[in-house]
Amino acid sequence: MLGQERLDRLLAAVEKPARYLGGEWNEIVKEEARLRFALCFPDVYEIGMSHLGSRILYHCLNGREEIACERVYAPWTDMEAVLREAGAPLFSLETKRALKDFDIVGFSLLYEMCYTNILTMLDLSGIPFFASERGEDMPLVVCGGPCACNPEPIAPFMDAVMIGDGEEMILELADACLASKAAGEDRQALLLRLAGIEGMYVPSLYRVTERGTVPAAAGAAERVTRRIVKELDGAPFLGRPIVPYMGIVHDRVSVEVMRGCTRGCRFCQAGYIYRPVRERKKETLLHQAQALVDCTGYDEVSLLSLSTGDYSEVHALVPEIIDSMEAQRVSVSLPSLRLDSFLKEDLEKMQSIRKAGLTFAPEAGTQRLRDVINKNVTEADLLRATTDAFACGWTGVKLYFMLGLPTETDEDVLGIAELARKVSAAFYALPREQRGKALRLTVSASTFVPKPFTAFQWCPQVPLDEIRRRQALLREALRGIRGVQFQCHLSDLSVLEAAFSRGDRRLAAVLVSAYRRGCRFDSWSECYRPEAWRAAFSEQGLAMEDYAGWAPPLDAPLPWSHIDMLVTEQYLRREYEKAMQAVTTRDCRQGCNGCFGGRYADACGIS
Amino acid sequence: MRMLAVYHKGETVRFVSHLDVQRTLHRAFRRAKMPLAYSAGFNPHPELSFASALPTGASSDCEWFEVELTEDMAPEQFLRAVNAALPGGFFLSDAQPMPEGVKTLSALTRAAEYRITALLDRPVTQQQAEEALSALLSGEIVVNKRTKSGVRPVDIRPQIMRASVEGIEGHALSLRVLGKLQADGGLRAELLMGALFDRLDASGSLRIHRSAMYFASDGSLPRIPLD
Repeated sequence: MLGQERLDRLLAAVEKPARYLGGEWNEIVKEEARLRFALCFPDVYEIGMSHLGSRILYHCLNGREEIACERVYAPWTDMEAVLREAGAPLFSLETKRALKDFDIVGFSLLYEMCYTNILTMLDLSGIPFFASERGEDMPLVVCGGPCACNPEPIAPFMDAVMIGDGEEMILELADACLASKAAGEDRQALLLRLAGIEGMYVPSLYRVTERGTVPAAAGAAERVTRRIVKELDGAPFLGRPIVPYMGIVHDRVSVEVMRGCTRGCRFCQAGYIYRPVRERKKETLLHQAQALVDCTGYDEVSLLSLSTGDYSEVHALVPEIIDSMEAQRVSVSLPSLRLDSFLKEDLEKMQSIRKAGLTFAPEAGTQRLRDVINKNVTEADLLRATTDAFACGWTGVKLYFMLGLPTETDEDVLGIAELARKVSAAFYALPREQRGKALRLTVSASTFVPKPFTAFQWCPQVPLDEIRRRQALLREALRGIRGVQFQCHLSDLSVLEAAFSRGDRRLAAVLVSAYRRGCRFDSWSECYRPEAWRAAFSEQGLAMEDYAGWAPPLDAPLPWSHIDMLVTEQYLRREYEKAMQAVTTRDCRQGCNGCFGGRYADACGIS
Repeated sequence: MRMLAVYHKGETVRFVSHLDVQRTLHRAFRRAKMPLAYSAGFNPHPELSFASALPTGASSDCEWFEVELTEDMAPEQFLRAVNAALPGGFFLSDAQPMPEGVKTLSALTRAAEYRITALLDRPVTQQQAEEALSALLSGEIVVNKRTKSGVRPVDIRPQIMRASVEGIEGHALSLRVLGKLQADGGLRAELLMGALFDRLDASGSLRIHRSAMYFASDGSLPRIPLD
């Protein structure tokens, strides 16, 4: 463990020492434990601490007396340099232990562009990158989270990968380790134990063939089935969450209203991989929100889900929670409302608390393309919602779109500008006394990235030059529209993201090479180093464009075909074919569309 | 009522910035269910103000602040409740109703005492340290100070009211410094130490502890001790 004096010297040398302090309110420190779990997040503290999932796991693990779960975040580049110079290992926040001194090192994978930080964290701890190079004295290295649904690019680094909801699985993982320790087993015996846990993928028990990734050892299932928590209402939540000293990205109490989404947007990975929809009861949420406010002192509560407006009791929950919080000077935010479920009453209620910016996501500029992606909102929905917002006094509205969606034409791109023009006109059509002074309409266009386990998993990403042309076309078309600001994202990075999201095991070597060339924090534009990435790809005889532009046949095995995320491949294929014909699929609350192929009827209240 | 109190900031939390301390106190008050008064306006905030902002990296036993409450409350009760809601490394003391006639604390702040320990990279005798310090204090002490408009030379000698070497143990040199502290600024102890390091031809790491704060007031606030 790092002593106070040595720690002080490290802290004095970095720009934001608060990232590495620990000791916050509600932190859990255990001097004695039978199992130590390092809960790692491969990004900086203020981002990692904003991730709800790993904070739920912190509560689950520490809920067991014999387990000590401690947090470790990626050191920013200044801290990495200071640690290297001092010859000090990366340490946990709770007891300032080196990662090597933990039984399990577990990473949460929220986006592909943080993978190099996994290597930084292992490297600074003296833990070999590849599972095959780790001896019996090394911790078990595991990962989970949404990116784990295509684990192949990082599979060679991992002893085990957790697919799906972690609340139950992570305790089964801990129990297996405890049992294996008690029995004096070696690493291989432990891995076989882990392979028996539902949702657990042990990469070393599989090999990659022309037919896809197949079992290579007894005890490895043909396909690894995603784990789900069937009863969300009774599932453990945050307990007494840590209250950070420094400001973090989501610095508020969050309650998870529901998990999953019924809409079926065809580009949206979260919409497919968190099915089925499971809700918490309104009473549970009210109780959790109050308990969390009491034990943290926060003055803001956020109602979290993929689409909070679709929560079955939303119109009872929102006024009730606002009423109970108002007297305590606690504001309530609803970050994910959909255009078509958005009501003027909600706006009026929200306005009584605080007027934050509003973001709407039409995603595409024409009805045809919105039908292709199954984003079942109309121009009328958008104009109604924005006009209501303007009439309630909002002046700042953001419209979020994607460029490069499958089948997109110039007409669709220009349609974005057309929509913006109509929204702007709707603002200025309101009488002066009924609206704010000046409109700030932000039009944001990101680049579409095809994701595994979506209807578009077979779709190539549109090449970068063409994306640039479409961005320029849109910028030109938006010129002169009153109040509009155009934002478009660094599109070069989305090529890399596309490569990794649909990548295979060969990318592990590319990652190591990129890491050796200095790539870190690739999602931070000031750190992103495209030339190093290109060199890393070509060193392995690969090109990121080949991955990003990959258009596999519909019947070919995919690098993630051995993972069963519950939504069947046949269903995704059907969705793909409907997309190409611009045919929509109904919201599954209106009737089951059969996405699980008849399985899991007990977990899904709809099927 | 306006409650006056002192917060203490220990070793383990000395890298928590002043802004983060404000947030920490605010949340602790909320957890302790203190009847906080809030400002009016678009973005209401608690009426919490400090005699001075403690630099990040320094610990302290004397950070005076005031907070406005909507109900009267016994100072002991305030201390008990808030101390139970503060994270390790922080605690409150000296709670009392704000003396009559005090407008703002920061307007009354005059001086602070610092206990400084420097871990030197080379051994220095007590005599060498004392000679270097008295030579330094005998004239202008021009240091480069980082300001909003860039780095510029400043004479910090007028900010130093008293300074003495307390002792040397191994490589650890201890000093006690009384420096000016006012709303518009005051002595930055690390600048003085930088000048001393230069004079001693040494370098090292610093531990700065603010041990007392002094005010211009007739009330219960501490006044600058006479020699």
